[in-house]
Amino acid sequence: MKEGIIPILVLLSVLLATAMFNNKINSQKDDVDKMEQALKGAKAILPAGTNISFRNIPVKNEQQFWARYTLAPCYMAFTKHNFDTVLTICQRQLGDSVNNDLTRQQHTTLWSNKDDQYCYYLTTKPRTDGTK
Amino acid sequence: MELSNRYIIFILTAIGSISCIYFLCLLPALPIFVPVISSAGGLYFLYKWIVPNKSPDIYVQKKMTWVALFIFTMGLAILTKNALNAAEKHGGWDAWAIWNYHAHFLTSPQHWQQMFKSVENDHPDYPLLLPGINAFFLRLTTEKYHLLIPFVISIITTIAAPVLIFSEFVKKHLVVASLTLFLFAYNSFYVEIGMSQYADSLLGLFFLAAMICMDHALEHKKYIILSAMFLGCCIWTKNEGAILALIFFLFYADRFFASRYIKGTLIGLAIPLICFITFKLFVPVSNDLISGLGAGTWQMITDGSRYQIIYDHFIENLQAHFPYLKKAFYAYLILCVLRRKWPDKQMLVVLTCLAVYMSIYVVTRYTLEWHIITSQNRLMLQLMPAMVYALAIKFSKLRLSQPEQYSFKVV
Repeated sequence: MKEGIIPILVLLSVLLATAMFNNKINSQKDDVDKMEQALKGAKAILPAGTNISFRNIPVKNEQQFWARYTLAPCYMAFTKHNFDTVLTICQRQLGDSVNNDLTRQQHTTLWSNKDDQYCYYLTTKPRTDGTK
Repeated sequence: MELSNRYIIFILTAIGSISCIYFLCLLPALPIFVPVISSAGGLYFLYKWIVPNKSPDIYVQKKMTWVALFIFTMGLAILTKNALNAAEKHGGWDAWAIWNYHAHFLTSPQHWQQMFKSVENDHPDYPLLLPGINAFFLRLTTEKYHLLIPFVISIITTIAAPVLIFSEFVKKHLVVASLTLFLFAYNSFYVEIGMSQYADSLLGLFFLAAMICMDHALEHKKYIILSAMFLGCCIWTKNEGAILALIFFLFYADRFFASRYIKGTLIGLAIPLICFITFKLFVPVSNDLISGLGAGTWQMITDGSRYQIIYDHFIENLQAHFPYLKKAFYAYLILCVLRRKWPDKQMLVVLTCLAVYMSIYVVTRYTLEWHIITSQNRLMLQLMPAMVYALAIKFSKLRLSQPEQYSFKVV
């Protein structure tokens, strides 16, 4: 009989730990959450499987990993590909100049967002074949 | 085998099977109800096959004491508490940069192959057992519970290895069983990596399960099948799992490939191996270590300083993360010398795997120091459960691999 208790105890500890973990994470906000929150709007308009290029105007290296993790199953290239759809992240104080720069380059803004630290722009490049 | 261990073995086969079924259903982009129904049917069969029958082992027929149960409860409580403290909301770096990121791709039957484009700071050639099981459950739950799925898999993985070893030895040598349980519970590195949502602990667990099943092979033929299946799961979990599986197959070739067992071996190995081979056919990039071999390889092999660097870091990691294991290993060697016996087969398997793992660094195309610092401790961790098991066999004065010392009558 006692042998059967071991799997029951294991099951109970897994259930208990999961419930406690759920409480723990509900009261926590980390950088990945912040990125998920910031890119929520972009995720809603991007169809699954979209190819995106990523521009990181000097923000910390992890940003790109969090962004691609958040937007998967869209594929986000850092430098390898040059796709039409571009996600640009920059520090908040650079937001206006980056936005002006994107406008000057004739990018069409699909979506943008700001939080307390960063600005986020999802844009498309002008088509080189002349079509709209 | 103990009833509790048959349950754990069932859970591990369930993890491996669901991941394989899900991946095979993903290839033709089948709707989610297909893997759900197939998995449910598979699990019912596995449960009926693995759990019910009684073991002829005389130790299994002994009753577990209340003291043992009390010790187990304490150990499990400490382990769970430490695991919970170590768990991060989104796991460690490799969790959100690789494993859970791949799982997000696998949730989309139409677009999962987009993952193969992701070669910048990523490894799309990493096998998909862990992302597969996560993706399966991610598709069955709402977004609210998405962070709980990898957590549950990681806590099962972290708890299962010590429970397997404890249950193996609790009736043979309570002190040894208890020490192994507390060694895991208080090893912060084991708990931290286990809860990081990486695949290293899962690989170590499958390797341990393969070893334990092999030690019960004479008890029932199914344990050969299960052992082969777990080795297949090692291959389907991480690329280096293929090294572990190959070494294990070589050491136990006499059993795996005996005419009586060869069919079972092939049956056990088939499904995870089919998944692995199919996956490798899809992946456009080859393994970074294999593709890195070339003209400079011989020069690396003959460079003595590389061996010194690997050895120095190995000792450093041993001291930092596995100090008790180091002492226990020396005690093991002394015991072997005093008894004038060679180390057991299980220990030889682990040591060979360790030697082969370390030799990978000799020919790495990456900067040696960087490669060692980022991965050596995790490779050592993959072998930790099997090493503890091999030590426990010696210290409990049982040698399950020698037929004359079997504790049960072979039916």
